[in-house]
Amino acid sequence: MGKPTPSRGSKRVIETQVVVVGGGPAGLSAGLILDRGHISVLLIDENSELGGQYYRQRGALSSSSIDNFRPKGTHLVESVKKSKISVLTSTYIFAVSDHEKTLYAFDESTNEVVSILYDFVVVSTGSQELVLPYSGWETIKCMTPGMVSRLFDIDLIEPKQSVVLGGSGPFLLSVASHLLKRGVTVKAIVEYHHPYRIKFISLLTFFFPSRLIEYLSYRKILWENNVSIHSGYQIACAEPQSSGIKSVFQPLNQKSQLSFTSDFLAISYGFSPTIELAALLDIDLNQSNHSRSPDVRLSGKTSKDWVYVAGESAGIQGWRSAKIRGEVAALSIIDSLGTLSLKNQILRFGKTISLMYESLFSKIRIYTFREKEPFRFVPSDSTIVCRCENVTYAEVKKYLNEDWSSASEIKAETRVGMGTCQGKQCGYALNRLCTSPHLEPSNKFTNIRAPIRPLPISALLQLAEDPD
Amino acid sequence: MNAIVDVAVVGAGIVGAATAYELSKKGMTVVIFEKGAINRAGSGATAGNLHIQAVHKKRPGQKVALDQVRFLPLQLAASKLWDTVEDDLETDVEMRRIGGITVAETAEDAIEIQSKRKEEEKLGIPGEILTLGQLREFEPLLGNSIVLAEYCPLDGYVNPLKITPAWLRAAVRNGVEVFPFTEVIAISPASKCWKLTTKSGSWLAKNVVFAPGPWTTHLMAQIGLDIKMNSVAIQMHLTERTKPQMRFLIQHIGQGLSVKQVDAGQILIGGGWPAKHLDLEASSPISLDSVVGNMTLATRVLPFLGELRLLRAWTGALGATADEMPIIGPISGYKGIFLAGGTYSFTFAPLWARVLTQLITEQPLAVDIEGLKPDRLINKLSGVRGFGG
Repeated sequence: MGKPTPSRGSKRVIETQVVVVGGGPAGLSAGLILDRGHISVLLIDENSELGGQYYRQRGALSSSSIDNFRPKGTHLVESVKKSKISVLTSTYIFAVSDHEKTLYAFDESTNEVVSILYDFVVVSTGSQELVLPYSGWETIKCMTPGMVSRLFDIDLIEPKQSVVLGGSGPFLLSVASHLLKRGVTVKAIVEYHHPYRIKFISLLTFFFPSRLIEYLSYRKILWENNVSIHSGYQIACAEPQSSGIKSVFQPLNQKSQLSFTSDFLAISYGFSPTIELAALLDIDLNQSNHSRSPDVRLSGKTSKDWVYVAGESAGIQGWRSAKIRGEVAALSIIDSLGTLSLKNQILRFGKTISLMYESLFSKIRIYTFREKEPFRFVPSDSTIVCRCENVTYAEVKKYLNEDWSSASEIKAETRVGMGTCQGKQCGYALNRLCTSPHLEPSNKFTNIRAPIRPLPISALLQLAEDPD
Repeated sequence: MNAIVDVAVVGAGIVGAATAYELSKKGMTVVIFEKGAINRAGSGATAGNLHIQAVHKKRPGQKVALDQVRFLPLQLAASKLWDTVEDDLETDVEMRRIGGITVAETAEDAIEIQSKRKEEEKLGIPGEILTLGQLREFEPLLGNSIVLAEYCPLDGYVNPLKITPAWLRAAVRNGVEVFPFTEVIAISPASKCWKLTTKSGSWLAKNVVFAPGPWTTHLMAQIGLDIKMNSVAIQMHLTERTKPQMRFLIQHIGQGLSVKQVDAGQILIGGGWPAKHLDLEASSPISLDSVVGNMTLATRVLPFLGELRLLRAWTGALGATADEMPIIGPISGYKGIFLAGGTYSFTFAPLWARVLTQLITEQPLAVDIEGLKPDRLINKLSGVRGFGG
């Protein structure tokens, strides 16, 4: 394969056979497989440390209070550091060249633009927590479970404080259990659906003993700490009071309301793939429930020969799957270079089988948590729907009933989705809210265009300079 | 079949919206059809500048230079109409006549500025040449590469996301019916009027105003006309919000550049740089080359921009003609058919609305449209014929 020619070059140019974007379970394992196959790899991650959401580093206090609870992650990161893989942290991709075979990254630690010339790219950009606005969610102590967990991990929040977890998904159990081990009081878990009722499909989990053990261990910790799971409720509002955040949950059927007071309130509705880079590379995307995910085959291949997507950015399946998907994508790249040894062919076969097994579990999870059904979501008039620009639902609603309403008009009149996050946080909710019979059916609140992250204009100018 | 209307407007961009409103004020029955969402192509995506001093002749990548001097009387007439728009609509569309500075970086550019100023003076367009010393005081943000500049107090901008919906809302109050997501799929002559067919029914109209921007060629083909357009998607760039620091709209005489700080505090940087390619079905993709080209020029003229972060870029399709001039007027041999659009339609929108209304109501025209009529760009195809021609 011929080396691509950059349409423009920065002072710093890196040529590599494969660039892996995202250093979580998928990216780390993909990098290691490729490195073992004697392929040059550049691994870049926007955080200052490798590991991604799942394996990321913890603060000193946190590390001393609990043993290394994810030794596999530490091992993966160490292996990458020892390998020949080039690693760039604190670096994010902001654009692709007009011919797509050059990626442009911004290194925040040096303020430099890096041009990356590559043959293959592995997009392993992970996922983000899905949030839906509720009254009071802009309050500082209302956040996502991932964020609360992270703040405790890096010692920014003291233990002995209390949290209420809400929303939907198995992640709530995992976070609760993690926080309880750290000495945090979990006042309740409030789940939108009824996933923990025993039903016929629950029997299938016996085919996944590791998952069953994981689930039972969570339940054991919750039981030991007297944490109850309330099912069939949705957050209605949060209100800061002198004693903490008062949260009110609305029942989805005829039960009465639930109310708690805690130091923190953490709400999320599962995860959605982080697809900005995949979209920028212009691969085919699947569209469902007002959100998009890349169209990815089991091998990690996409509609473009040189673009592979692995891990959570290929669809939410959890870290086990992410790791295997990274490995399979790497083996597929080695295969397309024509250098897949017999041993690796067997390895790929085995990995593909385990991937199918993991996918089956995620199907059970999707069914159990009824993830295909969109969450009912009715904000009150005073609910802030766009936090960057401080826009309430009442303001948006005014423009929903005009015959010619369009996303751009709603944006123009209210400034929703036009702030710093550019719809990354609120876009899903806005796409959901702004549906009227007349309104343009599309993802107009989550347009993805370069630059996918804001960056200094002075940095862009580095691309105008002569590379010599 | 619906009742016969006086005018059917095709295209709910800025020209279509302004025209529908202007016609409704004369008591005409008007319907307006839009194939997609209103204000979607260039009208909503433009930087929203009101260009009253003579403009630069070529945006980046433009092959044919426009006739700058032919523009001037049109710009002055449009400027006067813009003066009353907000009062007339009784709404704030963020119109800010902040005044514009056009800069020159070379001796050649400086000569161009001096000669265009002479043409402006002939028409009584206010303005003044700023020498280097004056310029430093006038706008200290400007960089060292500038050798001469011209200031015109009439230049400014309007929020492009607000003006078209505002005109449509006013039109609706006057009884105009707006049909978004309603593509006109056929146009044929009927008895002394035109029949417009859409998926949700047919309409009869005594007059049809086409203001379809980049879709002009496609729509004209429906009545058997081949019109030479040079449509292109151009790119806009926006910084993060910053403290109020820019007072004027800054432009360049020789290269594609317009910079201003908008109400929200962000700085909008444009200048007609091309998108990666024109895509009429979806949003045209961003060209990184254009981002870099536009930013390089912008930071040379206004060095402080380098310290800001680029938040967002977007594109919009521009319905430019083959000769880069506006297009306005009736089509010979097709009684009751009118076309409006071409370059600088944002600035000219209220003027084209006025002229189209005068044409339809058979009143004297506000400006001379000689040389701007559609006929110059049209080849008649065989087949469909108009009536009364």
